[in-house]
Amino acid sequence: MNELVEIKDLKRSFAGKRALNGMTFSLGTGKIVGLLGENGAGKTTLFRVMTGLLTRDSGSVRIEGIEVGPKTNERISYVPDHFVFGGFRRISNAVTYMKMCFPDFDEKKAEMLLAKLHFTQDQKIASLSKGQKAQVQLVLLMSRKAKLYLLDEPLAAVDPATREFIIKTILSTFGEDNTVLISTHVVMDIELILDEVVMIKDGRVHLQGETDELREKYGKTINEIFKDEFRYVEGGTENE
Amino acid sequence: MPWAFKENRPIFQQIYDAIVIRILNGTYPMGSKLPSVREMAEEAGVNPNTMQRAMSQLESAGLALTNRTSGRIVTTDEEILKRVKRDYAITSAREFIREMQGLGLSKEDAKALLDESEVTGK
Repeated sequence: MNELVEIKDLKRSFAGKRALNGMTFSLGTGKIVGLLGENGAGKTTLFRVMTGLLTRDSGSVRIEGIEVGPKTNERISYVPDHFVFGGFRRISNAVTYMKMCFPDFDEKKAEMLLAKLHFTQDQKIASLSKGQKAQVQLVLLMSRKAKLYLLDEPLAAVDPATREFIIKTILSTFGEDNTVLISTHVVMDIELILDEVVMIKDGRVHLQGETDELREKYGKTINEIFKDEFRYVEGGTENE
Repeated sequence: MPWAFKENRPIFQQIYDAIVIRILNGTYPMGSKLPSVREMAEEAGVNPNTMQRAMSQLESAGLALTNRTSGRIVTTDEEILKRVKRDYAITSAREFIREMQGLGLSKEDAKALLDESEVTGK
C-alpha cells in the first residue's frame, strides 16, 4: 500500500537560492502532522509544489502513489496563508463557487459552521475583518471531504477565541481516512493536537517523529525541542 | 474538572491518569458509559488518536470494557478499582514525602503536619 504522501529528494530554487533542498519524508493516513520551521524554511514553497501551483526542479511528490497533478488536487484541500475569496461579493457567492468547483464540498457542514460563527450568507466579504476572513476561508476549505488538508500558518494573527474555533474545526474535520498537515512557526498553540511533527530547516527535513515519543525521548515539550533545534546564533555573537 | 497538561510528559499518559482519577472519584461511576473518543478528544482539545491510546490503556488495565452494543463502559469490578486507587494513593503519598524531605523535614514531621493540616475548598 502507498503512503498518503511520499516526498523524495525534492528541490526547488528561486533566483539561485534553494528553497527546497532535497526534502524527503512520508506521511500516513489518519494523522494530524505539524510542519514546523522558521520563516523561510520552505513551508509555503512545499505546499505550493504539493498542489502543483509551483513546479519543482527535481525530485518527486506523490499523493496516494500518484504524481502531483489534477488527479491529486481532487484529494487535497489547500488553505493558504492569504485570503483567496476576495473576488466574491458575498459569502453566499463563495459558497456557490465551492459547490461548483469541488464535488466533495459539504454545503450543509459549511452552512452549519458559518452559522455557528454568526455569519450570514448575504454578508459582504469586503466588510469582513482580517480575522473573520481567515475563519470564513477555513470553514469553506475544511468543508471539503479531502484526503489531505494543507493548512499554511492557520493560527497566525488570530485572537484566542478564533484560535480555539480553528483548533475545534480541525479536530472535527480530522478522521481516520484523512490527514491534516499544519505549517507553523508557533508550536505552542497546536502542540496538543499533533500526532507527528516534521521539522524543516534550510529546505530539508531536520527531524521527524511522533510527538509523544519525542516528549518521552527528550523529556521536553515539542515547543522546547523545536526552539533548541532551531536556535540561531544571531549577528555572529556566541553569547546566549 | 478541566483538563490540564504538562506537555513534556506523553499526553496519552496524562489523559489516562486524568480519566482514572475521574473514575476513582465517581465522575464516571462504575458501570456507566464513557463518552466517545471523539467527544472526549474535542472536550480536552487533544488529538483523537491520543485519546484512543489512553482508552486502550484503560481497557488493558481492566478499568473499562468495550461492549459491542453500548460502547465503552467503566468496569464494575470493585477489586480493580480498589487496587488502582491504592496504587495512585501510594504514588501521591511517596511524592508528598519526597517533597517534605526536600524541605528538610523527616517522615515524622511530615506526618505531624498532615494531622495538623485541613484541606479547605476543593
